[in-house]
Amino acid sequence: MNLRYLVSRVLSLIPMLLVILIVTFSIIRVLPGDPARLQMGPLAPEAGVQKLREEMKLDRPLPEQFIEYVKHVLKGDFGRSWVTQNTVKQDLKRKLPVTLELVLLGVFTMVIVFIPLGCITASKKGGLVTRTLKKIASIYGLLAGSFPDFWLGLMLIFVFFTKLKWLPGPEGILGILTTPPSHITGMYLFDSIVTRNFTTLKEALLHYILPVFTLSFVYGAIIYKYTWSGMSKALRDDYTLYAEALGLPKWKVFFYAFRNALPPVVIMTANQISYLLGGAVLIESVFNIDGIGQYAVQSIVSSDYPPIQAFVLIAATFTMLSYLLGDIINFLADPRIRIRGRNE
Amino acid sequence: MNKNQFKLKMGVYRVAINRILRKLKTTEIIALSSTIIIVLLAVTGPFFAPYSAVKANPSQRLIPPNSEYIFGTDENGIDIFSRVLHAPKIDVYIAVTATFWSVLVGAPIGVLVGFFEGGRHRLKSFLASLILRLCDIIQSFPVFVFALTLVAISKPSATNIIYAVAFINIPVFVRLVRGEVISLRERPYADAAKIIGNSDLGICFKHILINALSPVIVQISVVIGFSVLITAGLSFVGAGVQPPTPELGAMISGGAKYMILGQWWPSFFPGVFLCITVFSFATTGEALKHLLEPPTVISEQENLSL
Repeated sequence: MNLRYLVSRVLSLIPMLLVILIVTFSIIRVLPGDPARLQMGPLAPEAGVQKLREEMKLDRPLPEQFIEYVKHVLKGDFGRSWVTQNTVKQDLKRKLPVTLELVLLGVFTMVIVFIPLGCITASKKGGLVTRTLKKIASIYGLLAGSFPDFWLGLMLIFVFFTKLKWLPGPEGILGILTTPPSHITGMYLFDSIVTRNFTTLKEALLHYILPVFTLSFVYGAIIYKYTWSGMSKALRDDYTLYAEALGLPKWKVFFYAFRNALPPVVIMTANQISYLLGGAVLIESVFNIDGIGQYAVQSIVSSDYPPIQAFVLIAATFTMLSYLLGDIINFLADPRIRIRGRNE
Repeated sequence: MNKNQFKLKMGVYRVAINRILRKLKTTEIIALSSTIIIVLLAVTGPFFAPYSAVKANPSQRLIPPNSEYIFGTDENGIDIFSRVLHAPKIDVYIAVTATFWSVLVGAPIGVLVGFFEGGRHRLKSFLASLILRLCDIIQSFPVFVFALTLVAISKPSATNIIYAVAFINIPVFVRLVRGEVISLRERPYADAAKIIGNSDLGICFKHILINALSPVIVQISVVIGFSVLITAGLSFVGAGVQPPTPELGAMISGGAKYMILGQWWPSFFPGVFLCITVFSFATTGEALKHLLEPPTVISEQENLSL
């Protein structure tokens, strides 16, 4: 096994992280005005701002300021939001798990719906059901990428909440009357399963249906397209013909083709995870979900800089990690990468 | 020109148009024509608008679609149809200008990076790979989040959205052109250009850039569609074009709170128009790709001669 590839891949995160830190460090310094004042907000008393100036070492050269900043970040200290009056850390502790759960549910749905759909519609033959599915899927692949996610969310709310009254409206993850599960991870579904709070679980699930559907519908299109084109090619390739000629069982032939079509799909899925986070920003605003996306938007609109810095840092780190995960899965699944060490 | 000559000429045109149409799928033809219509609307839209797109009229609030206001009116009593007709002037303008800037900056950088990368000149080769790494970093930020931050640290305005969207798309064009140039620089004509005494820069910009442009043209259309989506998204969360400017994302956002009350039209129509715009530009990219692909006969000949 080519472990060197894996190690160097993980180590390559360090310079990237450093650059991301430089970017978030710069956000507050490229703006006109006093960084400490920007950080504390317009309402803070002058004495407090003065104290922060000393803490940020603003009278020292930039490299020293940067080291100070990195030290704070490593301790989990992102400063204080002047809008919510909490430290960013407190806010994140409550909001980050919600977004994470939303994104994970989105990814999960995309993977279990669109990869099988791509496989089925790529098959050569098929009865009436498969053919109808092919038609629907090709229209979906054509259109879904151009749907604005926030608009689709609104339309779904109109249809399923306002008109049909089947699903709850845009009121976050839990209705006002539902008691939230006790805080373990902060993820509603996970916590209510662990605490066996099944009424809350049902409530949260119902509230998650529309946002998760919106996200996976819009961002799953590309995964579907990649799976479809990869599988179409693999199922018509010579080795598939050979496997069929040998009389291997159908599922085995399919499995071999799938394994070959998988790597680009994995890369694309990892890619979409980062898009999902961008989508979550909009979707959280639409569905009033109290996650970091909505937090970021509110901070941006009110020029509340510490949360913005934290959000950019988290988003970029999250993207990096999802790419890493994609590479690791490919590393484990694709023997060619294990030997050559690179996916060319 | 006598009648027969005229007929002949029309025949030639018809054959040419047929040849173009035959290469395209139905959806691509639809997308191509609707892109043309949208671009025309960006210029002429306001002339067709039956009412003012910004003047509030409180007595006519939230009227459902009817024969007088075919898309209904919004919460300020402004005719939504008029606003939608005005919108391409903002959305398409922002997207086109932003894309223009990213090509203008990205393509030359891409040519230089592709030409000097891994070359004999140490410093230039190093700079080229440095730029590529820089693109990696820009692209490691989620696109929408990055645009949101860029607009946030400047102030939300049309100009700043243009800069932000242009900036996030520069790496796309750098990479695209670089990929093309890496293979083009090995072509005999590049050597020929060098032998007759062109400087490196001369080869890059006089000879190679032109030949690397066809994938760029395809990508421009796709990026414009994508930029419209980003612009609308930014405005939707309030970090973009501010109301009352008729912008699609801001219009959808304005109608969002009425959605749960059952008044769907203020958000619905701008959204449909947004979908059509994004779809048209993206699919036009596909159409252009098919049109710009050299006919298979020629590529076979090329294969034989090589």
